[in-house]
Amino acid sequence: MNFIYTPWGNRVAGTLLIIIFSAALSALSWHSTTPTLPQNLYTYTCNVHNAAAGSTLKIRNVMSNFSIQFADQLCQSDKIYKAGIEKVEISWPSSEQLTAQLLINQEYNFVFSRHHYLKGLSDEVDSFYQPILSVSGFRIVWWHKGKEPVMTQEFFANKTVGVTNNTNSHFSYLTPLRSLANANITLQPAQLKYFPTPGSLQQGFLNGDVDLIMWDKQLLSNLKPTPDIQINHSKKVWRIKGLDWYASQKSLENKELICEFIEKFSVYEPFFSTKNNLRLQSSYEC
Amino acid sequence: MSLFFPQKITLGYKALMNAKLVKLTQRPAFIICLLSLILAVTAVLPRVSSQLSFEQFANNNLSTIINQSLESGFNDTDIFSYLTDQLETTYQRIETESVLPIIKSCSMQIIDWKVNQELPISSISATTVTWKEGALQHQLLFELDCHYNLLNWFIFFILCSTLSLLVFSFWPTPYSHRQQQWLLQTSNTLNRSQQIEFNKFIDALTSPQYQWLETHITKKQWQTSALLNCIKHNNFRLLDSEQLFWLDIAFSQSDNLDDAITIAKHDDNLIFGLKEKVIFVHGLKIKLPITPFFYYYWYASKRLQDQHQGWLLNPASTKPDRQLGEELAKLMSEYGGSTRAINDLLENGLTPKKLDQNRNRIKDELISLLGETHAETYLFSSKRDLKTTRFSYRLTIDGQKVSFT
Repeated sequence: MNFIYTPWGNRVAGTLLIIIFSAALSALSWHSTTPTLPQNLYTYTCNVHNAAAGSTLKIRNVMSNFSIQFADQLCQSDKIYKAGIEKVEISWPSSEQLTAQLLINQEYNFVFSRHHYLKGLSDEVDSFYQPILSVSGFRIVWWHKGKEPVMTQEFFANKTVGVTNNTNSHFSYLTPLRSLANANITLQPAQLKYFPTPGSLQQGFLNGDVDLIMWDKQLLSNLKPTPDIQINHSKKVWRIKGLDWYASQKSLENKELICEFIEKFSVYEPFFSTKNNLRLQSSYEC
Repeated sequence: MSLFFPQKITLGYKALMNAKLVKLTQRPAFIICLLSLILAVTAVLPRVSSQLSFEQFANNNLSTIINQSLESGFNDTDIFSYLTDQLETTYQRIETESVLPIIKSCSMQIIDWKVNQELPISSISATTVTWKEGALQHQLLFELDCHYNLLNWFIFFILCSTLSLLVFSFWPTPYSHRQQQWLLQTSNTLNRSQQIEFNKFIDALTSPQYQWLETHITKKQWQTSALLNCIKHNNFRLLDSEQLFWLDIAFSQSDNLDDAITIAKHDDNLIFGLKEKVIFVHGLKIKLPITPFFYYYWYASKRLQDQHQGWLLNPASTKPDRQLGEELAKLMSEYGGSTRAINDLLENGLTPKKLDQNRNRIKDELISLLGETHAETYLFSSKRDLKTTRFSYRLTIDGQKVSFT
């Protein structure tokens, strides 16, 4: 105890006490958070204008582009309101999340997909869903960071090809691989590079991480600012298989609803057609 | 008896607390620093720790769920405003947990989101979460807007400050150099509790006073308890080294500390108490033998009257001074002097021998009591009269310092 009475010992012990005190105070004041993750970030919901109570209109899209604007359009629609709908919920989950159960339960009022895919999930799908609006697939080409690509084994021999992890995607996986197979081009496993998203695929190509990708003809002009890069695309063009909007049997009972859906989606036609030469074709009588 | 006991405890406790608190209030810098520390920690740490916690969560979890959404987009720039809205809605109210809840909840405010671009320089309170989407580098900049529970914070601050000040008021002060010296020197002579007792007062002593104490402890001239009481005494602090000498003399005579200190502080004068035939030298009561007393008084009165500046010329050995003899005898008989001395003076007059003898007796008495150095002031000076070759004597002390009661 004499240690505390020496000037040096007093300071040391005092400092120690203050440190312990600060540590204790800090421990008591330490806060932690317990945040939860949102269920997903690929769903957008809007409330139908003036609606008090009613059902939720569920739409499943394949991509995020225009989804939110489309849903907002529907929410503003009088006809949607009259159809007794309170909310419009649009989502763009990854394709593997679509299950047979969801189709059989008619979980979605509208699904944007391809027939073979839905049929592959559930053989009975035709009794639950029917196509109402078809959208032709857009056209893509092979892009190469260098001279114009040709579909020969020699050309592809020492080059890397980029695709996405989404093996259900026609645009960024199936069509590229199919085009190579059709041209009898075999790639070594190391030549195939996978990317998590279409955006990263595009960026990877622009960075030079891969030599070749398939993309629409507006690869560079879509980007703002337009990068100053020398790239060339193949003369040959491939058209991706088109998709259809499918309506559930339950929804088909309401003609007004279907027609309103088609009309609101058709708003985007001029945009699609000028950019990608897409066409909409309705198989439903409005 | 039992009624006084709790009273004593409360009084004792109050005294202790007052002493401790006084000690603490003498260090305002320390109090301010301590309170600032508590303020800083309790105000800043909750915010910082909440932010760190959420930042860790965001870094570990957000990228996966955001990238999942981006899998289905083709140069979709609109998606970011949607994602920002969704995140802000989800994290509008982030609950916080703590032992002491100073912050209730926080909300996420997204400031900026850059993909493959530089983020502008942001404030310290903003957090950046970065992740990769393949070759794309995402940088999400957000801020946490936290809501304080001010009442909680205030209560906690007050409690904490009071408690810590209380604890720190009991913190022992280190020994001063002198105190350490004291402990070493008295390790053999005093026991621990005595040492502690003395320690409380020795820093207040002046250097001569401390030396005086040291000497007394080593030589064991006084009792330890007496020494302790002495240095505790209010007036002891005022004594200089000269007065300390008188203290010793006085205490050796009377054993009463208050009296001794009064004597020590006394003026260095000479007072004659005729009735009791005592002198007060520097306040110290000394009883001289009767006849020397009167002779001393005689010289004193000459000094006071300032006749010939107090000098009294020894009469010639062959011719004693009858007149002075009668005066002195009269004085003696008035105040109860020795009959023999009175008769001697009346018969034989005042002789130089008588003067010398009595002066020497006074000298012996005073020197034996005060030592040569200190007695000197109260003894006699001499000079030789050139004309008669006889000696003159007078009291060395200044006439103004002499008085009679």
